[in-house]
Parts: sequence; structure tokens; C-alpha cells
Amino acid sequence: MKAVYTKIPCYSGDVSGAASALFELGGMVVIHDPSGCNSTYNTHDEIRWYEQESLIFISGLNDMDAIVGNDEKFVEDVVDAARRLHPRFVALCNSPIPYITGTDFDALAAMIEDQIDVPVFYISTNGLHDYIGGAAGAFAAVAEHLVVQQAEKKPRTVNLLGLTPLDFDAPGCAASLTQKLEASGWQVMSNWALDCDPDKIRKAGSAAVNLVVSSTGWEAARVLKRRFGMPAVAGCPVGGFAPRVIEALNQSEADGRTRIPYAEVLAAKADSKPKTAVVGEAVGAASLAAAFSLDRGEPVQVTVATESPAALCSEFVARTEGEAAIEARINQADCVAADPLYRTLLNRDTALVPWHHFAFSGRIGYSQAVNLFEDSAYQKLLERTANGSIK
Amino acid sequence: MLKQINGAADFSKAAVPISQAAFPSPFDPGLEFNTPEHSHWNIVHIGMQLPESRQIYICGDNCMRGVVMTAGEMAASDRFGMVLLKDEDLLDDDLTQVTLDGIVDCIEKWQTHPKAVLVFPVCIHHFMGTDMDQVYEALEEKYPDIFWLKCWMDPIMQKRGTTPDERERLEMTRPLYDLPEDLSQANLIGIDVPAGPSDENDLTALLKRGGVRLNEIGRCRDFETYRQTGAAGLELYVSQFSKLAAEGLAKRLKRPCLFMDALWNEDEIDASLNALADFYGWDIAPWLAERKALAEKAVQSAKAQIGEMPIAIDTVGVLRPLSLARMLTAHGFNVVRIYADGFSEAEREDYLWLQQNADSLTVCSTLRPEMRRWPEPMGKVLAIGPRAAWFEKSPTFVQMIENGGLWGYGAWIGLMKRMAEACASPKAVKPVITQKGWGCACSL
Repeated sequence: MKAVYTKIPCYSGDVSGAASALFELGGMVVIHDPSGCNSTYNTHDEIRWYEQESLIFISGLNDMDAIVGNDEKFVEDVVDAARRLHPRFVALCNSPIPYITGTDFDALAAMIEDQIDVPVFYISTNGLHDYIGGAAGAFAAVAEHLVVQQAEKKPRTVNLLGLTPLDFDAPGCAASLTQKLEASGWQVMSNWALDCDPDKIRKAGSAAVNLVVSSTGWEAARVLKRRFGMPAVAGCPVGGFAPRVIEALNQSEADGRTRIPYAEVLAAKADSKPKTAVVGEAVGAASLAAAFSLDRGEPVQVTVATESPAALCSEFVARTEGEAAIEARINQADCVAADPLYRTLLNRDTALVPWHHFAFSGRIGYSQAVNLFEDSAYQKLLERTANGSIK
Repeated sequence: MLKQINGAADFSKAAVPISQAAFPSPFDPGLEFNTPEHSHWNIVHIGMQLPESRQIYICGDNCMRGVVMTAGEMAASDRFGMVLLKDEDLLDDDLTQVTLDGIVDCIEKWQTHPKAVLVFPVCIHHFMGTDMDQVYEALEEKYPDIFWLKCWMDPIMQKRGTTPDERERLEMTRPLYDLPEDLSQANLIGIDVPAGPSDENDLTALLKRGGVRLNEIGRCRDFETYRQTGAAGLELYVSQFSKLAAEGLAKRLKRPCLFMDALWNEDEIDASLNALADFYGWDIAPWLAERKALAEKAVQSAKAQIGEMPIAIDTVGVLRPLSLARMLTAHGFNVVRIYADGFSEAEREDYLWLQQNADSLTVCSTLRPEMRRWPEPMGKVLAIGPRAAWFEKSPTFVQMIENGGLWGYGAWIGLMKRMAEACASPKAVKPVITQKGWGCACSL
């Protein structure tokens, strides 16, 4: 079975993805779940829980309420908490039991919204998927419900979509990314949603282009394209790949087309036996691979171990499911840049270059997290792959 | 439309003076908050105590994440297997077969067979009508060399029935052999924190004095040694959460069973110790008087140091918070807050005593959503337990879970020592209380 694992953990779940995406926006996230979702999220999937306030709760669902469909209790509890805590919005998340009993969350959202004067929306989760879908659904809901119409576009401005600590865990990632874009003549209109200002997200409709820095931002980009006609560029400006991202932003502002610049870079240097491989979420891993490829002039293989959208993957950015399939694929390379917990899958002769991914190893090894938007940090990683270091 | 957040909160439903607190449920149920404190043990920590065992969980990503990372953080990933359920497993497949196939795959991937496997199906298995009996029948036939422990991770059932950890503790007693009774051994069943040394734990001291070996799962070096503890002539337990396990084992092996409730007041401690002594036919009066005198001296000494400093207690740190609050109040300490979401019927007498004798005591929920915004206290507070330390934002705290190995008059001595140390040496709260499963191995 491809769903059996004995060597590596699973990625953060979809509910954690939704909560992480909405963490800083001043809303209240309610997970309709008996127990455990919130503890799992705030222990293993959220580095901000201790220092920063965010209103994320579970409903404490019990067996009888699930069986008889006691939705009134859920509605009353959410309304009571919202009246006491005054969130900017309320987001409802599903979990396995309400999912299989077919709870109508859109109806519950409407019932709650009738009783409080803030937006209430449902994020389609069920606890059976990784964080990508949950975070993507949350950002899409923000794009749909919270971003207001703007009178005019502001040239050379960009929204950063898909920025959460699940993928960008090192301190300072958002600031470094912003500085990098500003140095290239682009101003950040809004940041979704790490070290961010929620009021700027409200005005995101006036940006010229969306920069999708992880798979979690792709769906929001589609919503913003539909609502405001904004094109998107998928990619992280890291290392030698950064100029390609900036060039794509310039082109997309000019012609209104969406671009995935890493796809071209990786296809151009594809090889059946690359020396180096990168494992992770599609946009981040492919951007890092594109940077390695450009900086070293060699093909680099990408293994997408998350449930990233097909549009962001390709033959060279391959979505790979299951421990056994990932193990077989990454051992084709001599050197693998991946979260340190992938070490257990590697052959003795395959080197690991540690690239901590919070959505995978959580707090384990967190002190080694690197901010790849800092050129010096990227350079160290590049050198390590060049040396095939750390067996 | 985004709306400005209002940082205030109404705590009227989350913190109530004990004089007005309803018993046994002071707070209305509602949405639930979870603090950043994670010192308590979960089912993974508990199960890992079983020597030479492994664990297999069958559930979706979100539920799996908590348990697999627990194993990872305690450096026990090599003892963990998982079957990740997907939509199609629930909607288009036979979950009984998926579960069985997944467990078999885990065993095959491990290559070597563990002595025992704790299997954890989840809430979904109940709702989908999974035939777990069929699964275990097949597993026992295919792998007769493995002892299969039939656990559950089904929190949806816990508010109206037994909790997953209560059932797990009971399952963990099943491997114990049915051997001839040996009165020179006693078992302490269902504990997570080992019994402390004789000076801090009266059970350790009294049994040692009487030449009885106290068996604890965490001290068994291998699975066979653990199984041999079935010979013990007496089953003891100190927490109500171990009642199912201890009484279940006692019934199966036809042994006496004593609940040595972790109480703090003299009459109750005396009654429990006398019951234990009576079982063995020991005269403990002089010994008891001596221990009591030492304990009283320790309390007076600590009181002189701590004075009127406000004290907060939680249910993670101590098993019987109302009993402790009563003992401290009776000795002149200034207990101001108890962090607890409910009480057991056995605590009614302490609750009534505190209503009459502790005017300034407030009962605070830990789960109510408004507790996310619980304000910092105005002054310095001595917290007993990690959750109290978080709510009080207090570097002056006693870090322990489940009584920290303390029991009886020894507990007085041990706790007073820890309280005095906490006052003398404040420590950073975050690195301590965010560690999961206090006392377990930790790879962070």
C-alpha cells in the first residue's frame, strides 16, 4: 500500500494548513472536531502559538452530537465565542467525522453569519489531506470574501501569496523576500500571511501581479485573477533563479499572463540521472532546484511530496505519493536537498543537504531552518550540494 | 469586510470564585482552546513504556500528524508505523480490509517482528462499522509471535465514556502472565511518572520498609520482564485514570486492588497507608508519626520562605488539585487560583471545604475560548504545574505532571522543597512547558 509509512512522518494536515494561513488575520477559526486537532496544530504545525494571539478553537464534538446531528450546539457555541471575542471573521473547518456524516457547513456558516456581523465562511477540509489544500482553501476564501474592490491598479506592486511558516519557517523570511523584491523595483502590496498586516490584504485587489511563493497561494491567485484580472507568477526569488522571477513579474504585468518560470528552467536541463535532487512542496522545491540548476549549470530533479496542484507540477517537478515511491525516486540522485527526516530513506551513498521544512519535521531540527531569501544562506546550501556533503 | 479586532474578552463564564462555582462542572461547554503547554502524556508516550513494542495508527493526515510527531520528538520513530487513510478508503473501499492490509504492510516493512504491537484505529472506524475483531483474528493467526494490543484513538467517545488512554492502560495490562501469587511484589498500575524515592513517596518508603518490591512498567527492561510482573500479589493505582486498568487486571488475575488516591490531607493519607499496612499485617503507627512530623516541619519551613505569595495550581501538575489547595490553605498558604475544567465526585468534600475557607480562591477554565486572552497577573505568582505557569506567565513555577512521583507525607516534603526551589530559582517558562510528554526522552 502506498499509504503505509514506517520511516518518515506525514506532512501537516489540511486543517493545520487552514489555521496557519489565517493565523494573523484577526479572525476566529473553528475546527469541528472532538479533540486533538488544535493540540496537533499548535504543537507541531505552528511556531507562533506561544507568542502571538490567534483565535483557533475546536468544537469538542462528541459521538452523540455527531450521530443525531446536533448542529444547533455548534452554531450556538460559535456565536457565543464570537460575541465574547469579536473576531474580524469566522472560518469553519471540517474534520473526518462531520465529513462522513455529511454536515452542511455552508448552511452552518449562513446560520452563524445571520447572528453576528462579520463574514463567516467554510474552508473545505476533512483531515484526510496534507496542509496544501487547507491553506489554499483558506487563502482562496480570503480572496473571495475579504478583499474589497479597488478603484485602480498600482503599477509595480505585488501580492505575496502562500507565505506561511509551514513552508517559510526561518525567522525573517517575509522581510527578506520583501527586501529582495523592493531591490528589484517591486513594492509589496500585501503579504498572505506571515508577519503581515491584515488591512493591506483587504486592499490586495489593487496590486499589479500576484507572486505565488508556495502551492498554498495558487488557488487564491486564481480567485484574484477572476475577480480583479490579476496575473500571477509562481516561484521564489532565490539564488540565480531570482532574476528569472523578477523578469516574469515584469512580463506578466505587461501582458497579463500567468507564468511559472521554474518549469522552463528545469525542462531545459532535464536529465534522467541528475546528480542533485530537491524534495518538498512544488513551488519552493522547484524554485530551489531551478536556482541550483542555473548556478551550477546542471540538471536538478524535483520530487514533490505534497499534494500540490497539478498546474504547478510537471514531468520535471514530479508529484510523488507514498514512502516507497519517494524513496525510489530520490535515490536516483547522488545528493538530496531535503528535510533532515528524509535521511531515513536515503541509501548509504546518497548525501543529504538538510533543508528544514516545518510542515514535515515541525519542531524537530527547527534550529537549523534557513531563510533562502538571504543570499548567504542560499549560498551555503548551494556549496553543500556542490560538495555532496553530509552523508 | 475586515473588521478591527477588539482585544478584550468577557471572562464571566471562564473564571468564577469558588464560592459561586458549580460542582462538578463549573463551566458551560463550548468551543475549546488549547494552551501552548504540552507537558502531559498522550497515548503515544504511554504506549512507548511497553518494552520492545511498536505502535501502528490508522487514520487521516490531521490525526496522524499529532501522534507521528510525538513519536519523532521522543526519538521513537523507529517504533511507529502508520496507515494514512484517504477519501477513497472511506467512500469506495472496505475499511476493515484497508486496515488489515495496512497493518500487515507495516509489519512486513519492519522486517523484524516486535514483541508487541499497539494498534490504534480511530473515530472513523466506529462510524464506518469497521470489524476490528476480524482484523485482530487475522493478525493473531498470521503473526502468533506478536502480542496484539487492541487500543483506540477515538476522542469522539471520551466525553461520554472511557478515554483512549484509559483503555490503552487496560490493554497494557493484558500481557501480564497469570502466575502464582507472590506477596513480595506489588504492581503500581497505569502510571506515567515513576514513584519517587522514599523521602518523597510514602508508598515507596513503606513497601521498601516491608520488603515488598514495587513493580512499575517504566522500570522493566524488556517485554518478558514486564510479563513476569503478573506474579505480584497486590495491584495498586494512584490515579482515577488508571482505575479501569488496575481493577481490570486485578479481576483477571484474581488479586486484591487498592486505590492509593493521591490525596494531600492527613486523615486521607493515614487511611490509605493504614489500608496498605493492614493488607500486609504491618504495624506502622510509629513510622507514620515520624513521617508526619517531618512533613509538618517541611511545610512550616516552606511557609516561612513563601509567605503570602499567591499560589496557582493546575490539573496537569497534580492529580487532586482541590485536595492540595485545601492542605495548603489549611497551612496558611495563599492559594488564589485553580486551573481545572471540572472535578470528580470524589472531590466534593474538598470543594465544600474550600468554599467555606478560601474566600480568595478562583476556579479558572483552561478550555473556554476566552482564556486565550487571559491577562497577566498583577504580581508574582507561584505556579504549581505547567499549565498554571502558562496562564500566570510565571517563571516561578514547579514543573511536574501527575504529582511528579510524590505521594503522601513524602509528597508534602517533596512539594515544599520544589516550591522553595521555584521561588529561589525562577526559570524560563517556554522551553520547559512546551516540551511534549514531560519526563520522556526528547529530541528537540
